Order: sequence, then C-alpha cells, then structure tokens
Amino acid sequence: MKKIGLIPLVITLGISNVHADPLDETLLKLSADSQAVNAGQALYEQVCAACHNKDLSGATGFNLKDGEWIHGEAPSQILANIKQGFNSKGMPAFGAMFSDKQLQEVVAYIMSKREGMADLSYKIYQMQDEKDFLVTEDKLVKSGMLPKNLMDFELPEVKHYAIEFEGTLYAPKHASKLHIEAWKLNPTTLYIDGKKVEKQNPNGATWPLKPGKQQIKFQYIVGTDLNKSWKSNIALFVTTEDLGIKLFGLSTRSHKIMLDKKIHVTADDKVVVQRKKIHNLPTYSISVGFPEKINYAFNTRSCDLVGLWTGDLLNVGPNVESRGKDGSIVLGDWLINQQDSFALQSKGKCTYKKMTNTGVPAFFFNQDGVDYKLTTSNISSNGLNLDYQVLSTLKSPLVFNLPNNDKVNISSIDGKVNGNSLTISPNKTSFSINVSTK
Amino acid sequence: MNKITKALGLSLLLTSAVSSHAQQPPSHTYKPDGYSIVTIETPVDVRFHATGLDSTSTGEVYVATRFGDVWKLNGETWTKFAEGLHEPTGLLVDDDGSIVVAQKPEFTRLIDTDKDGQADEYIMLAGDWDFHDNYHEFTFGPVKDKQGNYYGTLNLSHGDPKAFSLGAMGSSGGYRGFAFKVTPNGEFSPFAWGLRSPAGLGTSPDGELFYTDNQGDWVPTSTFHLLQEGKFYGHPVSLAQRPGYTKQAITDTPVEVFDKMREKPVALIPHLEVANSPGNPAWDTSKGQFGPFAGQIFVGDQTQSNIFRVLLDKVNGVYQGAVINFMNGFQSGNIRNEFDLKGQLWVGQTARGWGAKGGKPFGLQKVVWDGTNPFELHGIKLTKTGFELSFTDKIDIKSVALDSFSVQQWNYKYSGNYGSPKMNLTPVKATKVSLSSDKRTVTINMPLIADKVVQIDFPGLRDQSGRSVGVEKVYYTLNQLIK
Repeated sequence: MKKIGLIPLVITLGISNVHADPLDETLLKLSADSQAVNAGQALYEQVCAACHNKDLSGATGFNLKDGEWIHGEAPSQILANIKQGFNSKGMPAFGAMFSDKQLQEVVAYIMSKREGMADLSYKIYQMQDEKDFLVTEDKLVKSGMLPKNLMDFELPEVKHYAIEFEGTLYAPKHASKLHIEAWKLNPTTLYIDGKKVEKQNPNGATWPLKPGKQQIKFQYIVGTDLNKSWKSNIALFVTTEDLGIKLFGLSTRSHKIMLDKKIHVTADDKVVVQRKKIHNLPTYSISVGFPEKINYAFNTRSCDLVGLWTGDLLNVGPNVESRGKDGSIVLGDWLINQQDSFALQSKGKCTYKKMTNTGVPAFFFNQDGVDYKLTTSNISSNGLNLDYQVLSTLKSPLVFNLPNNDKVNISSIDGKVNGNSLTISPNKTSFSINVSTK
Repeated sequence: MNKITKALGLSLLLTSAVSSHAQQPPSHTYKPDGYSIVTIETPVDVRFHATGLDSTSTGEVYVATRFGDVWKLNGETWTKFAEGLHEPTGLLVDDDGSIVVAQKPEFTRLIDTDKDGQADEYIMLAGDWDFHDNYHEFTFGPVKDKQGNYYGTLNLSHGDPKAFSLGAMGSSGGYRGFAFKVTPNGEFSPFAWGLRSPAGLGTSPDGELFYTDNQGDWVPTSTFHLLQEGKFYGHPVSLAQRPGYTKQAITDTPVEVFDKMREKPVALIPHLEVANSPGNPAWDTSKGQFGPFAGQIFVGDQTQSNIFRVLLDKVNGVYQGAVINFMNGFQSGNIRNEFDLKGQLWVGQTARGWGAKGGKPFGLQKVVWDGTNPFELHGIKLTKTGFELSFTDKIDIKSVALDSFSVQQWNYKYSGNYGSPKMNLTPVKATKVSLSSDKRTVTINMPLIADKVVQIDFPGLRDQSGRSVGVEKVYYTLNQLIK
C-alpha cells in the first residue's frame, strides 16, 4: 500500500522551500548533529522499524527516505505526523508516548537518511530534427514540477526532443555514482551545483556524485528511435562507488526496477540456505541465515567462513530479477565480509565436497589432505560457534588468520588467540571457534 | 490454368518468397492436427522459471527454477525438494533416483537420505570450471552418455570487463565456452570448445551428444550441432585456454582460419523464422504415443515461444539435416523440453531478462496428442538430384505439381558480428516433382549447391481429405552433396 490521504499544498515544497517555519530550521540543524541522529536511530529501530523497515524503505508503512511524501515532507510536518499518528492506518499518536525531544531526534534521523530528489522540475524542448543537439530556451515547449520527485522520461510527446530535470539530490554521505543502465545512449549531460560533470568513461553512462545534498540538472536529448522505449525511457540509479549496489532510482523506470528488485529471503522459523551472487562476498559463497537473526557465509573455493552479518538474510532481488546482474544485498549489518581475512592457513587449495542440511547445515571439505566437517552451534543474535570436526588424521597444527576488524571478537576454548591468529591446540579431533559482536 | 499463367504464378510465388527474406517470425499460429497445449498449474506465489526439467520412470516430474528451487510434481501435487541453489539451468533424474542439477558454480547431486521428501545432501559432483559471478555464465546440462559420463556446457560471459572478448561475449577463463565431461567418479575434463550460449544439450537414444547454440557473435544464426570430443565449434575466445594459443594470436587470426577450423552445424536454425534462443533437444522415444514423429528431435525456443523439429539426415556418413516449426503460441519462453513416460512433451519456460513472445514471465506447459493423424512433413532426405519429402498422411496426387512448391537458398556470413543476414539469397527452380506409390513421399528435383540452407515451401500440397499442412516451410542445411 502506498501513500493515501493528502495534506494539501506541501507536496511540491522541498525542504529548501519551507524554511519559513523556525521548527524546520531547528530540525534541519538537528539532522546534522550525530548525537541527536544516533539517539533518533535507536528509537526509530525500536519503535518505527517494524512498519517502516530498518532501512526506512517501507513495509506496511511508507518509505521514509524517498522523494514521495504524501503527508508533507517539511520536517515540522513529519514531526507533527509522528505526534498525531494515523490511527485509521494503524499508526498510533507517538506524541503521547515519547517526549518532544525524542521525537525530534527521530525526525532528525529520518532526515539524515533522506535520499532521492526533492523540488524536482522538468523542461521539454522541441528539437528541430535528429541532428539538433543545441538546447536553447526558444525551443522550450513545456515545463512543470514532478510531485513524486521521480524523473519521468515518458512525458514528451514530440519526436525530437530534449528533456531536462532539475532539483535537489540527496545522495549518500559516502562516495556514490549516478549510473544509467543503457546501451548506445543518446546525448546526456549532468550538472552538479551548476558545474558540468564529465562521465568517467566517455562511452559509459556513469558520473561521480558529491556526498550528501546537491543541486543537479540532467539533460537528455532524444533524436531518434523514439519507438525503442528502452532508449527513451531510461533508468537512472544512484549506486555505490563500485557500482555493485543500486541504492535507489531517480527515474520512474528505475524506481519501479528497485521495487521489483526487493525480494527478501529471511530465516523466520527455520534455517535458510541461499547460494547467490552477494555484494561484498566472494564468488562461490553459500549463505546461511538463522531465525536468531545471525547469518554466515561459507565459501566452497576457500572452505572458510567469509561472511558474518546480523539481521535478516538477503535481498536476493538484484540477483534474481531481470537478468540478475547485480549481487544480492545483506539485510543486516556486516561483521565480516570480503574485506576481512578469516582463513585456515593452508598449503594448497581445498576440495569442497558437500553440504548436508537436516536443520543445521554442515559443510564437508578436505584441506591439505585432512577431511573436515564444519557446522555451527550456540546461535544468537550476537554471534555463533563454528564447530569443526576433524574426520581424518591431522598432520600439523592448525592456525587461523583472523580478521583485523573492530566489530567481532574471536575466541576458542580449544586454542589460543595471538594477535591476528588463532592456533588450535594439538591433537584435537574437534574444536570450536566463537565469533561474536564486540 | 494454362502454362503461361502457371509459370507466372510460380514466378510470382518465388519472387514474393524471396523478397520477403528480411528475417521475420511467422505471424500466424501453427500446429499439427491432434496436438494441443495444456498449462500446468505451478505452485502459488513461486517464481517458477522452469529451466531444469526431467521426469522419472514412475511419472513424477522434477523442475529446477532459476530462483534456485527444485520442485517435484506427483500427480497434481507439488512439493519443494531442494532450495537455495545458484540459478540452475539444468536438471537430470539420475539412474539411482538422485537428482543432479546444473548450478552456475557446480553440478550438484541432491539426495534425500532420510526419505522425508526433501533433499538433505547437496553433493558437489563437479565444479572444476570457473564461475566469475557474471550473470551470463550459465551452466547447462547435465546429460549422460551410455557409459555413465555426465556432460555440461559453459556459457560465455557478457559485459565482464576482465573477460577476453572479440565481440559481444567473453571469457575470463575457467573453461568458459567449453563443453565438459565428468566421469561417474567425478573426474572432470574439457571435452570441446568454441561454444557461445549453448543453452541446449541432449543425448540421443544412441548415446550421441547434440547441442544448440544461440545466435550472436560468431554464431550467424542459431545452430544444432553434433558435439564431439576435441572439436572447435566456432566462437574463438575459448581457444585462449587451448595449448598453443595466446589472446593476441587469436585476435590477430583472420576469420577465414577460424572458419576452416570450425565444425559445421548439423542444422542451421533460421533466425526469427524458427528460433532465436533454442533450448535442449528432446527425442521422442515414446514409440508412437506422441503421434507419427517417433524418434524425432523436438527443441523449444525461448524467444519465439515455439517448438520446432530437427529432421536428421546422414550424407556420406555425416549428419546434416533440417529444421521445421512444430507449434507456437506457448505462454512464455520455451527453454526446456522433456518427454514423459506417457509420451507427453513437457515444456519448461522462462522469459526473465530475455523477453519471449508468450507474455507470461514463467511457467510449465505440456503438449499432448489426441490420436488424430496430422498432415505434416515427416522427414526430408537429400538425394543426388534433390530431396525426398515424406509426409504423415497420404497425399492427393492432384496437388503434387511444381506450383505447389517454391524453393530458395542462401548462406550466412561467419564473423564476430552479432548474427548474419541471409547472404546470396536466390530462388531455386525445381524441375520435377513426383509422388511415391504409397502416396506419402514427394520427390523433388532441383539443382543443388553445397554450403547452403535450402528452404522448401509446399503450401499447395493437400492430403487425400483436402487438408493442407500446418507448417509449410522446411529449412535443410546442405553442408555437402551425396558423393
């Protein structure tokens, strides 16, 4: 269900237009205050995430980070809506439960997570013919605002045209890219804060974005092939810097693609195993999710644990929708991923043999001539035990390289941790390694 | 009709047939009399992109889905047998009842050891090739030969910046573009190379391997090949993994050299008119339960949502043959075919990522025969002077006249370009037609040139009850003449 009931007048007003209300100014400032944002996040995750999703992407409640704000996007309006609630839609009046300060912090957190466009306007220029690439004001035939803050490339009804979108982009706080999924694209130009931005590859369709809030103007000239909708109705995404994750869509088409690509696989009442391409995990990883909201990934080429994350298992949508080019995305927070090294020291490649699954998966492999079985126990939302069984005779002491990260503690009652390595005591036929959050 | 108008009619027919050579799919629905499509209800709310399909000797049907599940149909009841696999695009019910699936990273044997209806062992049967997380790196198969060896084919990658590419598709190594063999005890070996998007693999009842490849770079139109050990099938990038080759040497090699090295397809499959992205060949081993086409090869097409037949001929001891459309109008993209023990042709379907004429994103259908004898082309054989066309019913001799036929021929240009138009397209003048004494075989004489696709249209033929054929065009790949 998406966005019903309207509060008039405010829909097309971007945050930058509503500074008349001093409360808006206050909340805007608060959204840059990390202490307030952290406090807001804690309360959000405790109270709001059940309906609006932990990542604010919406579930039974609306998406709280995109550009579509049915009940008004001014910070003061968001605060008022949280206080009053929407009883008929199942959202209580939180003003009666939490202090004004607490709810302001929640608004600050929501605003800090804002992504997508605001104050989005469009202009359509009629070009003389398919070779006309000069956009001038005298060719302007139509203009207006886009209340859903999504670039709509299907607006033009003329054969040769240029379409221009301008507005405020809320990009991620870290480095990101604007990327168009297209082949043989027509001429495109991107301006950020008034300056033209060059594509990183002249034949590609990828531009670097500034972190955070910025003013963008995007121009697209369509001279021919109007009948090829994939060429005129383009899909603009904001992605991670490595292009590995599409974070959100800026156009109507990419927005729809993102909705289609939301296919969550979660371990609700039993262990779930998924073998997919996963962003930030090496190829050949098999992921295992537990109802306790902890997940790990075993790799069949290295025979090591290569991933550990809290929360739900995966959004497999990017890997199973359309051609499935993109990696699945973990739904929680990483503790260990491919940036980390957590590996049994070995002389050669391992040989993966099989997985068994009669409730708790077990992986069987041979490393340096020794057969092992790896399974798990002591599962909790904070971590798990990796239980190794040595199925043949050990030839030398076992040493694990440990990840050098500040998120996990690794210990073993069957060995000794020394710096970034763990040495298993000699002659063990089985041993456990506990991996848990710090 | 006097001779002049007859000749004029023939010439107009030829002209119109040849001038319409721009490759177009048939715009009408075609099917043989007595055959119909039955849609199978798939599990509710399941992304049932059926890309692996096999049936058991007791009639159960197993389906692997692109989402990663394996489902079992017993009667009308579906149960999930396995899950969490990496985009499987092939499934085999093995002789011991276990299921072998072709996941992208490995062949996996699924065993239900505790007999609760769900696989609890996922054993790696083979995985010696490299998968690089590229979406196009499909693993197709497995099929088995009579010695119990398993075979698979490995799709090239697309859009992988690290891949070696001479056109659209590429390889980052690890036997991409190869067919491979796995012995019963799991020993892997590369078997053949030069493959592109070899989405269909099958073993004939005699144990010979055949595969289909999809039109694109180095594949001028889709192909049906006999797959033999140690042979090169035309896409050069996999040669980089063969002894004596370097990427630079491959890049510098003239196309004519590859052209001489490559195996010729048993049958070229005209683009759009018959198929764009053919799936696996299935042999009708039902001994007549599926009608008069016993022993013949049926292949589905993912884009055209149709099924076509491959009609094998053997000339000078070498396979060549023809393709002819069989049925269209399926609901989604036909990628997997399987005859069950009742002689029903099951069709696994997907359209995700690559659109299909049938509008549905996925599904499962089957073709059933009601016992009516259709009037269709049954087979085609090359003669020294033309072709013999056999039909499934007795022909009305009055329709056996030159103007009931039109013939044209062309060839394709082999190159790194994405597909090829028809080259050197010319009409061929049939000089004589005659009917056999059993009224089922037409002999047609015409000049013959090797290395052509010969298209014979026979719209004017009628059977003795006045029926015309459902499909009136056959495409014979004339690699060589009878010596």
